[in-house]
Amino acid sequence: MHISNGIIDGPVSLAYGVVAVALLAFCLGKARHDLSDRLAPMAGLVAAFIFAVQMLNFPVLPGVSGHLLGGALAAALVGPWVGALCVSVVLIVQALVFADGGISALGLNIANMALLGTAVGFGVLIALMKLLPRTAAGLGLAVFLASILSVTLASQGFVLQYLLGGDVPLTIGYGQISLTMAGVHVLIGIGEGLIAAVTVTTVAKVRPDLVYALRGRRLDPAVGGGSTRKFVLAGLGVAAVLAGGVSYLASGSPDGLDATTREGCTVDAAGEITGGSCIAQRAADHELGGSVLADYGVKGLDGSTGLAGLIGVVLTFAIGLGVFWLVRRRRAAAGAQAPAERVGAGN
Amino acid sequence: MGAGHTHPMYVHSHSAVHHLAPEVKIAAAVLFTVVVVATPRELLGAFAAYAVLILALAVLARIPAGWLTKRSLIELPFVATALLLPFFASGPRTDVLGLSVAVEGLWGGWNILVKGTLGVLIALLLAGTTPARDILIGLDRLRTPQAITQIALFMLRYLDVLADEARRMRLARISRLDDPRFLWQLRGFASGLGTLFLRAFERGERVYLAMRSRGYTGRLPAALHEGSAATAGQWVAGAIVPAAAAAVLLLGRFGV
Repeated sequence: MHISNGIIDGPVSLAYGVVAVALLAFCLGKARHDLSDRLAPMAGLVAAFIFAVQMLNFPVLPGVSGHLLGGALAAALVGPWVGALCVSVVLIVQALVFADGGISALGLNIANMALLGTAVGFGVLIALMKLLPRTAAGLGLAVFLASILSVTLASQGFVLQYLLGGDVPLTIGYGQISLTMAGVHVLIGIGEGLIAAVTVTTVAKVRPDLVYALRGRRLDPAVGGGSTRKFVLAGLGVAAVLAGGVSYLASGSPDGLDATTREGCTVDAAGEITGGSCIAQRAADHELGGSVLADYGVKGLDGSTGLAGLIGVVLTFAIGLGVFWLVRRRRAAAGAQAPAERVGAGN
Repeated sequence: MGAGHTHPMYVHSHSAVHHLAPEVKIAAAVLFTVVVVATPRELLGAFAAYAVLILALAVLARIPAGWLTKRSLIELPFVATALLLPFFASGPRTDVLGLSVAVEGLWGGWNILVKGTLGVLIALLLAGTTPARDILIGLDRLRTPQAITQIALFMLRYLDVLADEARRMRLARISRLDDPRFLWQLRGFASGLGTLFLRAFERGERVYLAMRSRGYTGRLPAALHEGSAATAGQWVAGAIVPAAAAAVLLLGRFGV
């Protein structure tokens, strides 16, 4: 989702714009080194590919659909420099030609999706490639995890921007915004990760030289001939562990943020006086304060934040699956009456 | 394909706004957006004046109101955010229609709603009156690095080709009795994406070789960028709208 005008205030948007321009110039130099005079046609086609990928929406929860950010995918296929450049060009064209994402928020969007997303994706990918076997499954798993972390951290980039330049002080506190954003984006990241993993392994099997992350070497043949189902199950398992782990980690840093909001008791993030009491105090009076999962920890268990995150993820996933199952059954019933429509609906 | 060399956002017409040089329109749109974002949210009159300016431009450019409305739906997710803010903001509360909402949140929601909407309308006016290729040439004349504009040019040129390729692959899959549903279609979908990337990249290599054999040296021929560069008169004409907006802002802050 692209940030629009007016969500983050002017000075912060401007500062991010300046940083984005500087980093893009750096990426441009590095990308030229990678592709020399092939840069424009090759990067142009890759950007068109990412644009096409971003147009595909998939359901995350009922009512919430995510689209691929493509940062980790681009980093795995064409490397961090060309990747960041391509995603940035996509964002610029989307803002100017398709009115998607505010013109004044361009720097913010580039910083989150193009720079942060690609950098995190590539960093995690390279680290994991060292640990995991160089088989198709290993590469797929690395891309999968890199995508999840890249998307989740890009969402935290937005939370940071809101902390710096959001106009409105909120009752729910930055720690909880951060957790909510992380929760939704882990789900988006799982979808993105599955798609990116299969995409990259497909390319790696046919033309390993085109996968930047392999650095020109082939994949090792799989030892046990691991089936895809095994891979998908392993991936989902890791995702669940990660979801618990990430929310556990995420709960650590927002405490720092909460402390800051608590410190400046009469002053909110925008520098305006809210009058006497602070955000953190009000957050404690939340209506659901007494619920079992309140404050994202399971009652009666110390340090159970990760567990609560995990339960939350599983619950929302189960609800989403259930609703989707119902919709699908209804649609299948309708489709049985008019089977000819399905081919027409393929567009 | 066969839809001409424009993009879906372009509204074909021959108005004064359409004929303005693209670099002037881009600069005006960016400046106008900056003024809108910089306006304090309490200056209701200023926002009304901006809306009038946009309306006047839309009439001058003969952009149908229905088109503007339909296209601005892209902003909907942020409208949802704006509507939620009054319930989650802190500070003194007030009653609206029997609901208790935060005053600060109401202002914040209004801020996002009005600035987001005006920003989208400005961007739509730019996109509706300027073909995509002209926008990139305009960026080029505004001294954007050639690498960026070239990449964007190639991207726009091949976007339809890739979208069509994806559509053909999907159709081929479905006509071979693939039945795409929820998660289980992910595999077919994603390996399709992998194939799409391969085809895109290999097409890029072919395009590069074809261009190379016709004398490409890393820069596009100058002829592409010649012709209708903005005259001083056009710059002045283009400056009217952002200048008017800035005047409204200054008047609202320090005058009256």
